[in-house]
Amino acid sequence: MKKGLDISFVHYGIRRDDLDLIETLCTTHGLDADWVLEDLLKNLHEKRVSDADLDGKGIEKLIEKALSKVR
Amino acid sequence: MLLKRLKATHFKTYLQLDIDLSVENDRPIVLIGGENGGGKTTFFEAIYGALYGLHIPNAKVFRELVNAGIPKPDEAKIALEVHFSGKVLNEEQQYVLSRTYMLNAELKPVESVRLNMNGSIFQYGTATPLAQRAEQEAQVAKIIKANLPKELSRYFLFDAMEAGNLLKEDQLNRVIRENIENVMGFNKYLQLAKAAQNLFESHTAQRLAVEQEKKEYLGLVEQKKELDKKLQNARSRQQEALQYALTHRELYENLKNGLNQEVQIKNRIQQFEQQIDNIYKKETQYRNDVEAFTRGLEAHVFLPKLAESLKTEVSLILKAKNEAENEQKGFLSKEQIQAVSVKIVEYLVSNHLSNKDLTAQELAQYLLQNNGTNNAQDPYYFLEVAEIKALENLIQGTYMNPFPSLTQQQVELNIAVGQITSLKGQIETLKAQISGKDYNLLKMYEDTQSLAKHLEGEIAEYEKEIERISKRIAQFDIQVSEEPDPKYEALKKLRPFFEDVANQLLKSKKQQLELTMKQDLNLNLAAYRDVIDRVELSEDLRDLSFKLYHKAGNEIYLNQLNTASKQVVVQVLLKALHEYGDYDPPVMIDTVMGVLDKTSRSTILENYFPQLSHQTILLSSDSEITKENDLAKIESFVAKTYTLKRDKENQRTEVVAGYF
Repeated sequence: MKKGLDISFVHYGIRRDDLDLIETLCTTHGLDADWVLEDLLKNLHEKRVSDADLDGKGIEKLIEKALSKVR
Repeated sequence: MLLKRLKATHFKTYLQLDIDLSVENDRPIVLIGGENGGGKTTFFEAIYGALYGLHIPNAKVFRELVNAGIPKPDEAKIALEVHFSGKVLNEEQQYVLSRTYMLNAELKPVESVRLNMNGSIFQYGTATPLAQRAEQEAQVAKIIKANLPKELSRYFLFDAMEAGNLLKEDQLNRVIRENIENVMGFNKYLQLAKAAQNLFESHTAQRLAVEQEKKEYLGLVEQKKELDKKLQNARSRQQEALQYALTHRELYENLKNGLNQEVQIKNRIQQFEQQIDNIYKKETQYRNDVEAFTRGLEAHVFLPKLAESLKTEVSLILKAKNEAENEQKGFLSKEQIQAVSVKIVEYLVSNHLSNKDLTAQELAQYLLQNNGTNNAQDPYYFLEVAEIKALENLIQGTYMNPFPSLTQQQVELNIAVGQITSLKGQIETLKAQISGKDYNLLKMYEDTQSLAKHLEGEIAEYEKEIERISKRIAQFDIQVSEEPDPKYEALKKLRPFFEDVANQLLKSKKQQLELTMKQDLNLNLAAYRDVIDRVELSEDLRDLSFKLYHKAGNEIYLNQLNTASKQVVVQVLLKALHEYGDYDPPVMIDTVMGVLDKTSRSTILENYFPQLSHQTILLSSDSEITKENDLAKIESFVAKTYTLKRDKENQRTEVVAGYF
């Protein structure tokens, strides 16, 4: 078992290395990394592990919800 | 994730199964042997069912799943239990997941699930109150998904034969794309990008100041949505059609062969029937000939014999008659003289030329006595002309005795008639081979194939049209009426951001995947060993392609690889994805050698299985991995070997240690 479940995978469903790249790209695209990680990716991950697969509409709702937290 | 132990009670061929699957770091393989029908696939299903649950909608299905040796199936309990471990935050977690199924008093299947995670228990069942059940179920699902999501299990717990079948469909690039998107987790970024784009378009429309522009923009967005729906629909129909083709391919080929065979069988039946008919016709002809022969027996047998016996005498008679006739030439016969005498006397009397009463008789007498008549004696004067003719015919006739030919015919006919029973038997046997199968399936399959082809064209058109509209939408002169809105601004950035994430992640893993695959293909792809120069994955996930290149520079076209090579390509991809993907599952392969040929099998055994995963469970028949030759190649990597022994009489499978 080389990988196991690290903190980032448990929280976001994303491996640490990938998360670093995503944070960098947030800066490149002018997006708030905390918002992207916490309000989008973490919520998506939680939905995906507890619910059935989300369809397009479900993901749109999730983004709408995250947008409501943008200041 | 490591599988440690599997227990199964009353499940299909297993009355009681309890098997240790644990492995060591340097011995990652568990080798399980079983003859065909020995219970390998059921073992596979037991693992799958223990992890993700059995689907038992009614009592009938329940009874089908219960071990056949149970005296009272309705009172049986099917229990599956899998022990596994996984590392969570650097701590080793031990899990025991149990699922029990039984029929309740109303004979409805009920389920009970229990997960023990290092002493923490999560439990739910059919009878658990809804809210409590949802909470417990979510926890269990979360733990399973964290270790190996069900949707990815098909990549890591798979039947190699299925992989082989899939690849026959020339869909290798699609399979590879799906593997990469799903196993590497890129799908979610693409889904997020698409959802963000849809939202952005509808938000944009709401912000357009000029009503006309808003209307136009919304129209375009609607058109795009409509086309997108059609595209998705066409894709899913195409997928269904391809899936149908995949599922029914074997049946189709069998039916098609069957149909060809049936046509051949029918032709043969027709030939046999014709043969029998000819024999009957010959028999009728023979009978007619025999009858005719009997009727004309004297003409066919006696006359020739008579002619043969009397030939000399008759010839002499005819010769004498002939000579007599020759001699008589130039002389009048008595009758002629008498007739002429009558005429002369009549003439003399009527002209008063005679002074004496002269009679024709006297004149004839006179002429006969004094005239030079032929006095030669004809010894056969008594023979009539017809009799002379008959004698001539008798000795001059050409006689053909049909008896020998009839005898020959009879011999042949006896043999032929003797064959009729055998021919009829063959016809019956051939008729029995006509399956009476429903060949409408052939048409359905071919229709589905052409539908898939048609949909391919439709999809390409939709994509082209969507791209055109997207360009127009992107070029739209958006003059927003309000002050900049941070939410809208964030939304605007999401699509390019997520697409970038997906592509950058692919890019960062691409080189590793390409390199690992190149090395593994050079080792395992027997037909191209050591000649693969590079493996190339494209950089854009939306249009992902996978290519192989020969050291000589040319591309090795995936579709042109033989089936065994295609299977190796997919297995090599699986190993790379296992190594660089998000999850760390065991790999379990049923029918391990799938469609591999001898050379590929040998190579894969030595180079592939030992390196595939930290735990590889191989379910194999003795002809796939042979005890004599193949086992030695992996023996040093094998932690445990078992053999599934089928007790046919009791319909049970027992597990014994050792490989065959």
